[in-house]
Amino acid sequence: MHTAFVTGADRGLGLELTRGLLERGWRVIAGRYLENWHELTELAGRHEGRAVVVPLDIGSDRSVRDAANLAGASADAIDLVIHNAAVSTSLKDLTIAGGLNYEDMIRIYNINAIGMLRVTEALLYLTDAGTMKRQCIVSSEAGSIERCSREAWYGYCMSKAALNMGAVRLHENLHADGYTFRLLHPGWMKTYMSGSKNEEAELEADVVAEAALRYFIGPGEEDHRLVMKDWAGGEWPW
Amino acid sequence: MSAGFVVVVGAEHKAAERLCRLWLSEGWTVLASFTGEGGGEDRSRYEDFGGDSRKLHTIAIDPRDSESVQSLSELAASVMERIDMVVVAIDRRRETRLRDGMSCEDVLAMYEYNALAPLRTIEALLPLMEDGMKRLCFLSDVRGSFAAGHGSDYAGYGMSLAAKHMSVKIMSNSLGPRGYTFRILTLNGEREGFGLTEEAALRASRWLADFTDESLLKLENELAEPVPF
Ligand SMILES: NC(=O)c1ccc[n+]([C@@H]2O[C@H](COP(=O)([O-])OP(=O)(O)OC[C@H]3O[C@@H](n4cnc5c(N)ncnc54)[C@H](OP(=O)(O)O)[C@@H]3O)[C@@H](O)[C@H]2O)c1
Repeated sequence: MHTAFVTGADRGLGLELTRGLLERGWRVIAGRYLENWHELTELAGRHEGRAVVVPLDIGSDRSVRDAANLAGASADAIDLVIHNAAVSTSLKDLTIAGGLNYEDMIRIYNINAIGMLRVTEALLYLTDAGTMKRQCIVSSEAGSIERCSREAWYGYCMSKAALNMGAVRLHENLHADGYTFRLLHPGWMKTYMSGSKNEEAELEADVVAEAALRYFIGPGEEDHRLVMKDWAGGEWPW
Repeated sequence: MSAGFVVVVGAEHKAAERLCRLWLSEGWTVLASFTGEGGGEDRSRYEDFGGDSRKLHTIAIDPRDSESVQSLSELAASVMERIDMVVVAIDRRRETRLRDGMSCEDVLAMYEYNALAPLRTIEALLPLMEDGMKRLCFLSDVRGSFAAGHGSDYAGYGMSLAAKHMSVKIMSNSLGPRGYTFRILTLNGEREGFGLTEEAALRASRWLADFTDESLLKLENELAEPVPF
């Protein structure tokens, strides 16, 4: 049985990815960030023995270390890691001429960009022992510098550009050890990034999760070349 | 254009020092701002600059602190009638070795220096640029380019530079329509003097200050070759 580790699994895309993996017969170690959200608990209850829920704040060294230890207590190896957790901000309209909020930008970077490094490092002892050695990173079109036409939303866009660069550098670093990478822009989803469910968005998270899992689990040209692809398979420039 | 007014932030950077020297020798008024831990030592390197010493002003700031950055803006307002060009050369680099005690604190510190400090300084200096040539320049490193390899031990550093490049792109989108133009000079920190020989420095100093080129945003290396993000 293959084992996956998913961050930000409480709701949104992370929950649907977790559901999709469980339905495919995987064992999933799912990172819980929200204390009082019932969906992940219910899902795990329906797949007892194969779903392990661990508390996880990817912005905290200690929390990530503890989660990695808990993961090690329930699995000898991890085959696939999905770096999904991220935050946005209510301060997205601040411009350089109007005054930026640097504290908020540090908070976002610590989670969206550094979180992926933290989790990758803490789980290495388990992923090194895995058969797939696959790192899947949920990024965003907001990280594409070439395509960027925004005049604000500095913190989020900068964090996702940095995340993409982190993926490129980790790919360089770990590819020789047998690791492969998938980098995804999931599209505009009806999820909770703004705090409540965004019903105006285009895509249902379960539909995106299905496409994402095919991309994450299957073989592909991406085994040798790191690219950011969207949920429909389109390639994005850096 | 004839000599103008330039603020260089991160003047302790070797390449920035070369550029300041050249602009001073051409009659520019230069405000050199030191952001490193070198303090007095960094400043003393500027003492033998020659030229018209009345045109050289220096200040040490902590670029992570808005009040400190404000003091730079106040000094600029008192010694310059306008700012034509700002050059941000702030650079912090540490290795990020994934299998060898990676420090998330270091990774965050590089973001604060390399990506946020440029934004803080531009934000503070912007009001003084409205009557100038509106050129914003950034020194960067090849390890911040997605296409460049060999940065695997510098993941955190490269990430901070990618974040900086994104911030420059966003600034160019919002300030471009107001007449601002942007230049990113991508150096190679692995080479002696960041690859900025005397000849390359001269070319770079002219490229950065070429106000006849009104292109919105350009990235070049020290050999005047275009660099992809
Ligand atoms: N939604 C979109 O349209 C869209 C577009 C492009 C890319 N993305 C990316 O898609 C991924 C999934 O986002 P989503 O749309 O599903 O958003 P979401 O519904 O907010 O899900 C993200 C999950 O991560 C959790 N989380 C927040 N901070 C965390 C932390 N420090 N440690 C661990 N978990 C944390 C969230 O908890 P809280 O709910 O409490 O914050 C939430 O459960 C993200 O990487 C996002 O950047 C989304």
